[in-house]
Amino acid sequence: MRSFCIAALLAVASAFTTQPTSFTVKTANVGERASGVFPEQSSAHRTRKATIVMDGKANAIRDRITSVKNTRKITMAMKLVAAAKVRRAQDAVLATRPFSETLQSVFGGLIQRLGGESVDLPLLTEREVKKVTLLVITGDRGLCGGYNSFMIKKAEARFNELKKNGVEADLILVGKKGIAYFERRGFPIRKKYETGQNPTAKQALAIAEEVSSTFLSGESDAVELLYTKFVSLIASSPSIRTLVPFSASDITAKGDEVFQLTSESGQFGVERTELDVAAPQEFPNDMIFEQDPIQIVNAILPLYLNGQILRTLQESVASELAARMQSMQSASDNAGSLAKQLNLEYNRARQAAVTQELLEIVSGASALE
Amino acid sequence: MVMNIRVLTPDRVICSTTADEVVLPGLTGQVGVLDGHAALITALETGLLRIKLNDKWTPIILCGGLAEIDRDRVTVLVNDVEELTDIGLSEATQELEKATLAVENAKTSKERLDASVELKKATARLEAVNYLS
Repeated sequence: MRSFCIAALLAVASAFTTQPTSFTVKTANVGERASGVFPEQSSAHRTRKATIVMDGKANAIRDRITSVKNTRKITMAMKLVAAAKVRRAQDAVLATRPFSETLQSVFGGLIQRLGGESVDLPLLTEREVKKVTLLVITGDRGLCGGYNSFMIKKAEARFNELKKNGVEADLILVGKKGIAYFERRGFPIRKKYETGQNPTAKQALAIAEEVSSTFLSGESDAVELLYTKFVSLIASSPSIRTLVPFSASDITAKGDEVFQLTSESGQFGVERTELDVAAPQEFPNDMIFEQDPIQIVNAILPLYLNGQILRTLQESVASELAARMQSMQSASDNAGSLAKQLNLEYNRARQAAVTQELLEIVSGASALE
Repeated sequence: MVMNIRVLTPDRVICSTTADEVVLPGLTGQVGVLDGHAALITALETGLLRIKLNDKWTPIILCGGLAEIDRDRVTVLVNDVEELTDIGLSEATQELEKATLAVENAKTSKERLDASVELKKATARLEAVNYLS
């Protein structure tokens, strides 16, 4: 009987030392494994419960490692998805070039033709500001670092600043995140839109029409645009600028910027190129103006507004994607280092269990001598 | 000489083709353009643009903008083009009636502005449907 017990203990002990993987499986499985390795063992050995394999702590750590690694896979995938979308966003920006270039040159030509004549158009006329509408562009989704909260904070600060100066303000919101925030806090909301994944001219047109009718009908004396300017993949800045009334010099004198995603040695990067202002078009002297040049300028302004809004939407979407890439990258990095640390802890616990096991066997055996 | 026409919206190039004849929905009435047309610039109303190539007319609904003709090149800048969906004549008529009512019932000036934009679109749509059938 005595020698039988020692043999059994030794068999189990050697199973642990030769098959370290069996530590990672659940206690119930240890018996099965062992029986596979030592088929000659009697049934008494198989039924013996290996209750001493791992303590709860090690098991908990192992589960945690698995979940951290899975999370890392997800964040990695999200980063890559965002990177692919940045590329698409960049193509969309390039597709707006022919339109904005032509528009700018025609507009420049018209302004030259008008010869600095003061243009008295509603969309260019500054009024005394009593009420301001803020057009706030946020994202539809989270998991993109501080992108949404920066924008929301900026908008709220601007709103309160206007209030403090005795100017009434209301909001036109683009993006679910902003809508959720401001709606819950009971801010005056004029209209809300979703951002979507790739902004279209249709979407921009809907917003532009809302903006211009709000301004032209006198319901608001200025519309300010709050959007996230795309600086680079690691930096973007929440910005404010006045959308309407616009100033003619802004339209003709401002160049354009295009960004381009690059991948250098496996790292994503961004190049920004400043484009020159499109040269004002030289109209032939016998050019027929079907309408008064001022009226034509009046027809161009909504086009310009629409183009601007589309452009900012695209830029905001690009910033959101870049922010998401960035935060997913750091999430993956964190998950990696956490998994590493947990693995160390786990190994320590495992080794402690093995040592204890051996000590018990040896002391058990010596007690029986 | 052949005429070239380009239709541009803020987000893409809708079409860039040669044409024998183009009819533009000008702010002060329709403008027909053949090749060799004098340089001209006109604001566009929300309405129907027609391009004739090889005896075939292609209609495009435009949402307001600007057209420029210079040396047999027609450049049309518009806010947006409407998809030519195959809505029926009765449906288009109904839409127009609804839009007209909305303009009449508008209370604030903003509502009136919004409604009149819709009305123009509905008119253009009906025109396109009439044209296609």
